[in-house]
Amino acid sequence: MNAPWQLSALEASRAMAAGRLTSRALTESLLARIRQLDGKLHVWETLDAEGALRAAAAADAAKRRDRTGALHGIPIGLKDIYYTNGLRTSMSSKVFRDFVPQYDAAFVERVKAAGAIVLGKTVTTEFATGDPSPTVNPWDHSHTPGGSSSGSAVGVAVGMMPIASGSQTAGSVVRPAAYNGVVGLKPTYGLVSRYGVFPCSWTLDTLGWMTRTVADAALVLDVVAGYDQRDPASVRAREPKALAAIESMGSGYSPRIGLVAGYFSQKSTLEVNEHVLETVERLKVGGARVEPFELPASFDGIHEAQVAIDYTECSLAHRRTFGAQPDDYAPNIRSRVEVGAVIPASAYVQAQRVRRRFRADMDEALEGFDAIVMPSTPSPAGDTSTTGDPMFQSPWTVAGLPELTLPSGLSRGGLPIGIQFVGRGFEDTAVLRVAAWAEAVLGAGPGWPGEDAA
Amino acid sequence: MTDRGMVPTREQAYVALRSDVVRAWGEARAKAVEATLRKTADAIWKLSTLEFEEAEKPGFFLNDAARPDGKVSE
Repeated sequence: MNAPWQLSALEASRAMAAGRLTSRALTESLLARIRQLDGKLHVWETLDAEGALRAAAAADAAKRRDRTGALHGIPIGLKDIYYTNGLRTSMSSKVFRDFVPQYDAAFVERVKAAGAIVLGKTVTTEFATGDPSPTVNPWDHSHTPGGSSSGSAVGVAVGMMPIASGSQTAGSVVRPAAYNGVVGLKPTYGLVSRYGVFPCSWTLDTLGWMTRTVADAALVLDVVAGYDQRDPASVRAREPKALAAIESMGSGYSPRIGLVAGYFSQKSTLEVNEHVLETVERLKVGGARVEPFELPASFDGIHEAQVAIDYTECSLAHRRTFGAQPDDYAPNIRSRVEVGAVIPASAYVQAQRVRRRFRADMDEALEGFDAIVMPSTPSPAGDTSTTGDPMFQSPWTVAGLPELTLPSGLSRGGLPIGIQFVGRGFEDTAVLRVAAWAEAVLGAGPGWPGEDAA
Repeated sequence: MTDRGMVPTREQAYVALRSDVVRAWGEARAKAVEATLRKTADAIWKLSTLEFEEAEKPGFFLNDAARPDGKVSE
């Protein structure tokens, strides 16, 4: 049997329901893993071991009839921009180094109500932007773990927790997930409340999470999706019921998948291109109906729209704190705040028009497809001077479409490579079904990073 | 020349260290500002070249545009 830290959330949950595992044993196993590895990997900003063990004991003590939450007794990590009542939330910044919120973010409320146990807060790049964090890629220390949700991705990859939250303004969930060989889901914009999460850009920020299986990603979506009047972007959408959709998928399921070429193959390395084509061949052999998918003309300008919106809104989000403590900001975020303040309003409005047109065109072009597929990143993780380029993720953040990266293999250099699936707005469940099907066809993911690296 | 003349005082060593730190900080900051400015200028130019119907909405309301009938429940 696997050690408790190796279990997915769903496996652990079922083992607990069958009386084969306690939440305390699981939490202790994860804490031991953290103690063993965090000195090298720098995943945690704040660890609440005592609080987690207390919550685990309470979860074990709960009567069977009270164990109704889908995440009952499951420890999770939270990116350090999610407000947690009574637990330090620093945005991995000097400005908020001693900040302790007095309330939980909506996401935290929901996972706690479902029975989850908060292990602590994971390292983010400063204010979830572009300055590299101290977190280390466990597959190769000389390569970036990606960002901004770097601690969450690495922690899930090495078995410090089965689930960790992230957020994406350009590519901050999918890119680090791909670089570390785990599943990363960024749902449709508006499906998950961002109330109580420190903003980068109000009209782009989307919460997401990392897991080691697609089913776990679906499990979390079912718990956290839902309307919240405290987030102005929140939408009254249908409940996703994603896990049930995955579990009821019959053997006759044959997804229709669009293979995106053009920009995504032109910008990818030869190795990534070959890998994606080989992977798609395997999906075809598995029964997928794969057809070419052409990006609409409105894709042109989508990256520039992301920059204009992100920098403008970032500048305003930081206006007060930056004005008071400019020297406490790292170079990348500092320049973004300064330059964002002088972007012309006409460019900002034009950027919003670009995204609206692209979203409408994509929803139309995706009609009839369960999802489209392309590489998650142009290459495996690069060196540590940056967190990598979000060029393959940002179009889907700008359009607000659901996006999921699935680990699909290792490069010749031993670094993870991922493929990503994108679907129509509010069709997150369809994307998760395709990904779960592909996960089954492709077999086990990249496994655990080597003992030396980890 | 005495040894005292060869070895920097504690104050001199501190100043040298500080100036190295300040120089490195300045270089990192200049590099970040330059990269951000270039990226922003490119974005502004590109966005200015794109054409839209005059009557089209400004596009602030992403999810209003994307909510087809049947996808929204009260």
